[in-house]
Amino acid sequence: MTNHWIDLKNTDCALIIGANPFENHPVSSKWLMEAKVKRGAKIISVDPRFTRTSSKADIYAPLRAGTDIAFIGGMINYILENELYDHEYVANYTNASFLVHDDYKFEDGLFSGYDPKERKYDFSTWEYKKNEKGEIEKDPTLKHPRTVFQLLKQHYSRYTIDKVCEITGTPKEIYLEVIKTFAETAKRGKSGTILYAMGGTQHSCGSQIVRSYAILQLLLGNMGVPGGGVNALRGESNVQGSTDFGLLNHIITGYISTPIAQPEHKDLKAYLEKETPKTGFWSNKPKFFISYLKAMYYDKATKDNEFGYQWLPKRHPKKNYTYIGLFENLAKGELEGMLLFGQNPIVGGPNSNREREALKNLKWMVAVDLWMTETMRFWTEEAGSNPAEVQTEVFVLPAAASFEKQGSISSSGRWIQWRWKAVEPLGEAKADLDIIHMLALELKKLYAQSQRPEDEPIKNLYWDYGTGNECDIDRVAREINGIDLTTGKQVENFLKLADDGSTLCGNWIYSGFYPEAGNLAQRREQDDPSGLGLYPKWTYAWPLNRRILYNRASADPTGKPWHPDKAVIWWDENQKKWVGHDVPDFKPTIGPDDPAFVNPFIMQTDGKGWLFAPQGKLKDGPFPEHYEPWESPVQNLLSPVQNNPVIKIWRPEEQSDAQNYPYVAITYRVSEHWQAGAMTRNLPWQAELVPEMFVEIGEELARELGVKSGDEVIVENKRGSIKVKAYVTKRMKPLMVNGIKRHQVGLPWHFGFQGLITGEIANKLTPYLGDANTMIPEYKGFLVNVRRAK
Amino acid sequence: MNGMFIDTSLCVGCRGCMTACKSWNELPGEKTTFTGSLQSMPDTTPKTYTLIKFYEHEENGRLRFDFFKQQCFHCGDAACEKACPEDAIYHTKEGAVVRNYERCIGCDYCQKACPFNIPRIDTQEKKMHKCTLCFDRLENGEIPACAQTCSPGAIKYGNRDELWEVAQKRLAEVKKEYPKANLYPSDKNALGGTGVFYLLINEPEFYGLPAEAKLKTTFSLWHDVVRPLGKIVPGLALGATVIAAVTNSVKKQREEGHGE
Amino acid sequence: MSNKIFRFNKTMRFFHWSYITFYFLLAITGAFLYFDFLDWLRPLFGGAQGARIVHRVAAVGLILSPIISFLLNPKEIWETLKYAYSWKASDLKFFGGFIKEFFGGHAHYEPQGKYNQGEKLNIVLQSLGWLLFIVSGIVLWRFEDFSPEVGMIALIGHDIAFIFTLAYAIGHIYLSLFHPVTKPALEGMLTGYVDEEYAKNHHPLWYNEVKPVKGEAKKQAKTKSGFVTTQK
Repeated sequence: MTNHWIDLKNTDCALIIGANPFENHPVSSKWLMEAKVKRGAKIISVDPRFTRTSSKADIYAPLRAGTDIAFIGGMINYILENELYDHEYVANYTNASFLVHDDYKFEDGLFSGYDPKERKYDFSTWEYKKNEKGEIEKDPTLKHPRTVFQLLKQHYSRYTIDKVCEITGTPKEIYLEVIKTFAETAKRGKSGTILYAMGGTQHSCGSQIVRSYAILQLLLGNMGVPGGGVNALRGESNVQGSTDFGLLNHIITGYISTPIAQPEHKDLKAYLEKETPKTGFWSNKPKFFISYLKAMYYDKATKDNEFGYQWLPKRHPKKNYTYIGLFENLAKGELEGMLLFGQNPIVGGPNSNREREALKNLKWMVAVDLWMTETMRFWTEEAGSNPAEVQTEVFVLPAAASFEKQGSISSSGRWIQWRWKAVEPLGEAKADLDIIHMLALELKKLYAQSQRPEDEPIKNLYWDYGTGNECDIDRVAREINGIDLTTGKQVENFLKLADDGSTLCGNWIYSGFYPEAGNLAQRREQDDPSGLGLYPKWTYAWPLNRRILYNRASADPTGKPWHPDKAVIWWDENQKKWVGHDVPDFKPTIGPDDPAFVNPFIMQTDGKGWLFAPQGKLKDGPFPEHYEPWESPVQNLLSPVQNNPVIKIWRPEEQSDAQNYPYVAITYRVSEHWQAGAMTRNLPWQAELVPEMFVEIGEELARELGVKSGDEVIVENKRGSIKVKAYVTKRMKPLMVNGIKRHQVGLPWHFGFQGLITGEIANKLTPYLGDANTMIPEYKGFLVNVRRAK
Repeated sequence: MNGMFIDTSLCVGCRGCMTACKSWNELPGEKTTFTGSLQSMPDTTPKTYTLIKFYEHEENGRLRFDFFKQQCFHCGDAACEKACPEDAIYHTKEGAVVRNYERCIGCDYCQKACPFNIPRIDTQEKKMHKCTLCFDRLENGEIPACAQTCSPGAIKYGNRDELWEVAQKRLAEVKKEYPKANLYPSDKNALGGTGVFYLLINEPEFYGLPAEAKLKTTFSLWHDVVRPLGKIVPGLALGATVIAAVTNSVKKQREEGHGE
Repeated sequence: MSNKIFRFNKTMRFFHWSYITFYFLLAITGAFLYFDFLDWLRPLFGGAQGARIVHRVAAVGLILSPIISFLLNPKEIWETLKYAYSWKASDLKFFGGFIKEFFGGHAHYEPQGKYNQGEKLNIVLQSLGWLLFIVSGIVLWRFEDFSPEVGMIALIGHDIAFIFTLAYAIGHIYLSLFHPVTKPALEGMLTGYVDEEYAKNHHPLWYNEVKPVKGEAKKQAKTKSGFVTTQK
């Protein structure tokens, strides 16, 4: 979230698209209802299903799954055509005025530079136009046809209301109402927020869908202001923390790229040169990266050995280490073992049948969880396997639950919140951290005498968290914050980190949460002097306890708040610095004399919000473009290119066709269950609330199929077949897509064959392909057939 | 006096209240099956004190997905308390209508008397169970578990008079969105003032509630006529026999006196 | 020493005493819900839950008692009921006198048959009560399975049945155990025979029909004031 949960109370309009927060993030309802009751805020729910969120929305707009870019693109077009955008904001705070490379173009559904053989773009034309001095050419009037603004307008001119509604199936009058209502937030003193979750991301264009939200918000001047922002509602309470800490393969902590075994990363110097931009806040990257290396190897990391850079694992340039990539490598027999921490792939991962088969190639599996999961028992007949064929040795380690251990969790609002242990773990259960700690100590012991160079990363790994079975979590926390090695004291924040090896820091974005004054994540002070719900002394928000990101943009180009009701920070001419309610997301001393005064987006090299994403920051285009989901019942109405041309398709033979599999399916979660279900299907209270697996189908489709609520039906496609109960509902209505009636069905993905309640695995049906940028699977918008079980 | 205000126009149906209730009251999860909708069971049970009921319907072409939190109203003038032959039901000083476990014999009179059909008998255990308004939290200055957990603020607990004003204000606000919205009970003092009252977005009958919140006629007939008769008539009969015994013995003495 | 007249056969006596037994078991266990002063009796029945079981067992007895009696001697029961339900307007005059006599006054009655109007009313009330008890009792037995509205009506029915049968029973007990005038009738329910004198005074119409007539002592004819009572 660029903003945070409580900030939702400041909004005038919440556009909820690709999310069902009242079910899956109920805390959102507290603040959105407050906005509704106290400010008369409007709530818009855009969803293929009429959800519990839709039930409290002022406007519900149905759409066909996977047509989000068309939906948002049409909004962008309407807003531009009707000049409903915030001109001053757009002209000053975005790259709208920048001129784009002469050779950049978009034609027949493709951006310039496409290589059909490699299914890749060459990004060289996705650049700004620069003058001889290397400066970006601009037209502040935004009139020049090669400005980002004009190109944006041109790009989305195809997204007319009629065209969009033909694609999305949204009734036209509802769509117009959505646009007009949300466009109101461009007005001074008004702000609109976009809330999205996996309904936005789990598509073959997932990253671009989120980009489209950003463009819309920039046009309406909604970034950096209270009640605005692009807000990702994370799927788990601490998924924010896990990505902050480098859970994904391509980043280490603090969103710094993992080195790749390629010449550009051959040594520390090369890596830093390649990865560090000249301008913007990321120009500080060497400080963060070297401090990270110091945290990894401490005294073993010296200037002479590149601070241990070569000990860091490097990615193979050709290998795919994303979720599906790993399983495909496993299927090929390239992996021997697997450590699973709270992961249940054959329920939670896509193409479950395929993943179950792949797991058979494991020699060993270590699974750490609270309960026996389906994945731990992937080799059983219940799972569909022949136990005699499976040689995998499975080790099950009981894990402590959140109440049985201490540590921090990071909310979607980036708050690092410390939690204390309430009760002792049951039986032999241990905290994940302690399990890792014991494993690390044991590995270090095993490799202590090794002379082999490849064992140096383990030998030299700095692991000073105690020698017993319990990890000294306080030491871990201090290391994350960062320590000044010359004084031995914790650094104040990441502004104090150095690139000469004099500081260590486990995660630069968290630096500042544990200064000498103490662990600020443990704070629980409930003062809110601004009344904006910032609660600056409640725990600690990264970065630097900032509650609203890009908050410089809450003030106008002269440094005054756009509107007194939505004031966050402002330029104080007397003090010559930025002051206000929140920690400025800006260098506080940059004043009106500095050209950077109007560059609020400090993480970007140019300081501007990007309507146009240059340099291949997104691999599938500088502007989001609508392509049909990989499996779609219709032809792309906007261009001859049917699917996102750069997505990774692992198993093309499994593409289900619309003739045999006519219904668009989405997977989703319900309030009452948690993720792959182990935590709730084993809890009698939750098991009681949603006891059985079902498929949601509309009344009209049910009539066609001759199915009543509660009847058993088969849902199937080329990847699998599941037998579930039909949940016939008024809330799933067929949509008119390009003049043809299309049905959608919904499948909760919480069920499996273990636990108090069991049910079929929805992910047996989901496809094996990844978004071009994140490789997130297309869990929403695939094709199935539904028929009566008998 | 404190009270609970349930604003169904704010309820998102997340059912956090149901889990919180079971958690605080240490109630077991029940074995359920798919009911054809998200609703977990048709009705509350001795082990499920509160139930979110789900309603899908269309009103003037607008699709609606409405929720109703079924639970005890904690009436000031509680039919269950009056009906209980064992004096097992009483008001705590915080206004919760609760049942004394030891005294309760599970006779079910309370359920039959209740205008809202709330008390539930565990036929094995032979005890009545229903929402307690978390009286054991109230006693300790806490608010009921469901109100505590309710994210959208649909369940509010606090000063009853103030909440009633909040409710009236909310009613005026939501009338545009929900023309059939009403406060239930509509009269603040109905049933001696209910500890729990609602802002409903459909007519009461939509949720299976009586149109008007009042004691049932049959209950009044039973409680105010039949039950007193039950004491008066046999009493009169007994009295008559006593008098008869006296008068007869007097007569006998007199006759014997004559005889002497 | 007066002669004895045969009044209640075995069926009637079986019915009467079995019914009374069950009735009072039911009354006491039921009255626990009415009257706190009976609480001391509860342990005798195994507490409230024991009393509920006793109540149900006795209910079965109460239901079966007249049914078995009917099966034993259908004619007797049928005739008794038919007799008890046959009323004419002047029968009501009886009650004026009855009240007077009840409190020790002297009353003059029209000649009564085998059962006087008071006894007839008792049979009517108890039999209607029996029906009402059963119908409402079935609901109460499976209380949870019935809607509150039906349940409430059943409760009213059960209570009304109880109120009126109990009130009458109190009077009936007093009359049979203590009242100087009617006390002798008890013997009939115990042995089957009543004093001829009593029969002659209290039930003259019936007495006239059943009084020992030479040669025809055993032969009793059905008349408008009574009916054939066999030994069975």
